[in-house]
Amino acid sequence: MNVPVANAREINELLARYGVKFGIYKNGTFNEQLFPFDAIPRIISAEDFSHMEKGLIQRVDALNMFLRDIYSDRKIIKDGVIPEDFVCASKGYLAQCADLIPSKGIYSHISGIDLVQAKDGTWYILEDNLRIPSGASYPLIARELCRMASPGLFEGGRIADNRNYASLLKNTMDYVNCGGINVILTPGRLNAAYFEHSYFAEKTGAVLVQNTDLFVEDNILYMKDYQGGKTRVGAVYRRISDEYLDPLTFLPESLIGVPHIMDAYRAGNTAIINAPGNGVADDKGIYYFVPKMVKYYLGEEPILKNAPTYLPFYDEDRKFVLDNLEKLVIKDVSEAGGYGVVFGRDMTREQLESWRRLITEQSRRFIAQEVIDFIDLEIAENDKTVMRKADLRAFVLSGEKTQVWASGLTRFSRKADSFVVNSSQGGGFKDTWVLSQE
Amino acid sequence: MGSITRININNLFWLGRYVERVFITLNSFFKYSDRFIDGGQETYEKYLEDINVPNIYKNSEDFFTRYVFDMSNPDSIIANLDRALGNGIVLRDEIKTPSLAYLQMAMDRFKACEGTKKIRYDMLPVRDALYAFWGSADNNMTNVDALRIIHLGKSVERVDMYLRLGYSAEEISAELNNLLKHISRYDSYGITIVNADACDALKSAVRDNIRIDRQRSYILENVENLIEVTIFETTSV
Repeated sequence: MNVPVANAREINELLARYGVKFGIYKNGTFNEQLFPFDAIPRIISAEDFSHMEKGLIQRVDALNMFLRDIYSDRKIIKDGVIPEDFVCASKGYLAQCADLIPSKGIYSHISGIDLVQAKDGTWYILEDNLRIPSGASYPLIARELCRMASPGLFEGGRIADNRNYASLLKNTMDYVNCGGINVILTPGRLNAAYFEHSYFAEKTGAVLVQNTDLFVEDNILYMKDYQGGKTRVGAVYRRISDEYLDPLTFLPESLIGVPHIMDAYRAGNTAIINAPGNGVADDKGIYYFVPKMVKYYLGEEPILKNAPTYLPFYDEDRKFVLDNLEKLVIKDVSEAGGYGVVFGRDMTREQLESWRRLITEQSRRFIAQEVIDFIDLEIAENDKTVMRKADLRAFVLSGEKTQVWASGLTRFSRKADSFVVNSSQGGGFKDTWVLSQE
Repeated sequence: MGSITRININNLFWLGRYVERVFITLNSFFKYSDRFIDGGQETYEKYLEDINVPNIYKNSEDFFTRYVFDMSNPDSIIANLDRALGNGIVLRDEIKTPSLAYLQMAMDRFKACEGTKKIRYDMLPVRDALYAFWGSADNNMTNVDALRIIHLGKSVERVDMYLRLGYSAEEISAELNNLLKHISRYDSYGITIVNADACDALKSAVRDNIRIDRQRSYILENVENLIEVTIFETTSV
């Protein structure tokens, strides 16, 4: 499919007009900037998407089953599939969530699964994001603007319409709602993803709130209006991290949380989206075990592959990692956003030795992966087309059923030869077209 | 009253005030800059005195630049537009994306005008965007109560600025009546943000046909006390 790119300027102007920005802290200063958009879309065939869709649903269902298990019976540990160390030592495991079953038993309502496509066409899962995956708003509004700037491209219904994300999100919130209104809880204007919080509030009809708008009384969560009245809240799509959610349960110094919200949640009077404690399942160390989870919980072979991964925790894997460090990428399991990622090939001999010592001493802290030579995508740059690395964040929503949004956030590196695509590190994004027919 | 949070009431009210403040000060500045073309007795010092803004400027060139375009000057027009935009950004879900876009366009255009020699011409799209903002808000906002709060802010700002800028007694009286009509709507909703004493004072000022020219500071004081939204948290923008 040959796609013209003459509308890049118009679309970027429209993105500026509609305030499509993200915040970034640099040297202690907060700046909002436009998220660079490239007008050449990533195109995914209907066949590819169908395969990917089945794999993503399978994976997210298994991850939800894992979360329910790990916070209740822990059968997967008892049966020796995952070592207990990897669960209890995970920063994302929250003992406060033990034996706490959320509304409708769903933990990860919105899952952001990062994939890359290798040059042979195989899709690999790079990581699962089950806490507060962000980014869906950008391709959502970009599609709206692309259809405005280049209507001809979308004629004939060849491209799946992705503008249903807000209704998928609303349906998910409604499904788990325990009685009351839906709210989106934002830490405020200076959060990196504030555009997304406010845009989803607008599009779903949920009320955008900050912690001072909410209070708990008799284990019921309320929003207070300006007259002192109160409205019951049945579902909270929270955009703040677990540890800041409730100062009486987690970090006492949190100034952005809602005291006693965990009591309302525990009593089954409000849903929290995504459930607190999900971090244990998107830990980079647990990632290694997800294919095993699929087999264990669903009795199926995983449809989508993990990138080949080694756990230095295991003697055999550690030996391989130490012997082949210069060929591998090392990831710190506690980091996110492209931080804590180092490539062995970029290290000096001294650095390699230093990393070998560190990995030996702190084997649980790191994973090692083979570097997938994933495909480059065309990017328009100064009237030329250049090739850059790109990934895809697919969004999977779990409500009455598990659904994959027929689109996603394609992020690309703006630097030649760089594999880091994160917006916080200068990456851009593209529209992601899923073809509705071949 | 629907689901309006306490913080948003404050933001809505100040959004209305700041958008109107930008609009009025821009118009006022345009009139001044037109008179300035002819030279004569017109000075920026007189203008600043009229609008009750401290004179921190070295000369007329410094005034032209910093009063209009200096974001770090809290009295500049662009600083007020930035406050309007900041309030708009935190109200996207209430005012809707198309309305916010007009504030963003006003800001982008405003910044692009810095250094121009034909400011009234180049700034026309800024005024257009502000007009469009009001049309878009009226057209797109689904929460009528939230819309009324913005208009309440606009009306308060108008009376306030008209009093400060030496508008005629007829213009002030008309806007004061308009403001009191807004307030009466809020009475029927049982809204408690109106200071009853200040409201009574303004009603009697209009009813008794007090000579507005002699009562400007009295009316201004009561207008400033009329809405008690400042009891809520200050907008952080």
